[in-house]
Amino acid sequence: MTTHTVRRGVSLYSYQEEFFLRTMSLEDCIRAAADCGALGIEVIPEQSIPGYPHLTDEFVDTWHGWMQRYGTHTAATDLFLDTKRHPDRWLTLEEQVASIRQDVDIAVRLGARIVRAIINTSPEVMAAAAPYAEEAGVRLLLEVHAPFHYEHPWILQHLEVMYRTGSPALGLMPDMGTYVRRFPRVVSERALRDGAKPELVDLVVRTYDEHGDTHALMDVVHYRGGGPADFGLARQATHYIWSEPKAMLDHMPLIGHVQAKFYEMTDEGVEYSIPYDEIVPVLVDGGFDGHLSSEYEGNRHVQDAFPVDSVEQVRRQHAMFARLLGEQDPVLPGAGQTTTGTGSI
Amino acid sequence: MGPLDDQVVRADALTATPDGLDIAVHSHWYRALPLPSLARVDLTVDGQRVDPATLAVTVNGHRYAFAELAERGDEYWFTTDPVVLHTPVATGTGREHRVQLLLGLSIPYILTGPDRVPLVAPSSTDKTLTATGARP
Repeated sequence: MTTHTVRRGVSLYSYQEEFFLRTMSLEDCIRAAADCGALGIEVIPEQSIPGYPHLTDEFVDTWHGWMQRYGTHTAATDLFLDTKRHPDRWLTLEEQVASIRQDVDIAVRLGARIVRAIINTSPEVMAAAAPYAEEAGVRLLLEVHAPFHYEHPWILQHLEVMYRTGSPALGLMPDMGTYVRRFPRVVSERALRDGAKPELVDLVVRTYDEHGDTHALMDVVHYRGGGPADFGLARQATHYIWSEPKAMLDHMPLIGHVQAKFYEMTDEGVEYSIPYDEIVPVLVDGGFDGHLSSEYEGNRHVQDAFPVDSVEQVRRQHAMFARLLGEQDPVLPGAGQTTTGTGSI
Repeated sequence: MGPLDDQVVRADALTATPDGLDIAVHSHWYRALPLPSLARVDLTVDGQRVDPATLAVTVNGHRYAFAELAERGDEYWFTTDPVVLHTPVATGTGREHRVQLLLGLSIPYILTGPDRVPLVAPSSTDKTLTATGARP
């Protein structure tokens, strides 16, 4: 492995199950990330910070105190754009930009230089918000989230704005959910538990894995007499995509942060669906100098039948990253429970 | 519907007050939502449907009539904080009530269909719980 500038981080989204159930506090989440050597903290203020959007000075002081105590730093914040915040009307362009400015201000107070712009943010809003972000020293990165990809018209419109304005404040944040090579088994196994028909589950998984026409699946599932669980799975298959990770190389100057989505770290220490052993070398070769930031999303697929252990899942992902990045001192195995949600019924 | 449904109305959710039964309700969504997202509250207590027009709701320490929530798009309901539904249902300390709640959260950034309608994420509760006395 050549020298690289990839840094490891965790989005606290990864611990949402434990945070929601109050078995982990916000400080516990930060400590858990630091414990696996992931020092870049990504946070969704609306998820983690009581009182959002009004952050007290006391909270901000406490946050920075945690960063110091655990040797961490704020890598990114994630913004949402609630275009239908008011039931009777849409937010105007000006209100949307104001919403983004508010989130930029929050990022600055928390010490983040990167803000994730959610995929529904329009190119016009990005362009209008860019000068404010630039002034604040913050980059607004549009998430490239499945089923979008770099040739999709929506992304192309954003790229047009980014290249035309040349604003240093605009860029991209790829979500690794765009590199789902095989169907996540935590999802198909959940569908079976929810009453999906085994032959239809098999059809959906096989069609996805062979990169067949997943859009026709919803029709076929209807023709085959599928129920809600079958239909839901077929729809899910259209939400994942596989594309070639090397496509990121063409856009590397715009890429400031990567959301390392994952569904299941297996007992063997690999992600079941997403080939990180192919993705990480692309980031290294491209000279990516941002954070590879964990986004664990398997909890919702196993929580009906298994205890969720987000801490162990994130730890395993970072042990894998440390290995793929050639770190000398890999993340040591913890004492956490094994929770893959598969093969252990 | 999901397993987090079980967390929406928790064991200690019911409080008896002189004005009626208070029900603490947690969100089943992973991020704070603007108050109009509390779009659908189909509540039945002991088999009697509670008209939302009779409900008051306390969020973040402020008490609103249910219909007023639609005008509070700039205020957020946090992930780990309950809202309290104030119902006119007569009760007393130690009384049991069957609470059936279909809670529909309108998700203001996930728009579906050609009419761009916000996704409504539902949760369903059916529990029989005991009311505690009002906290001092």
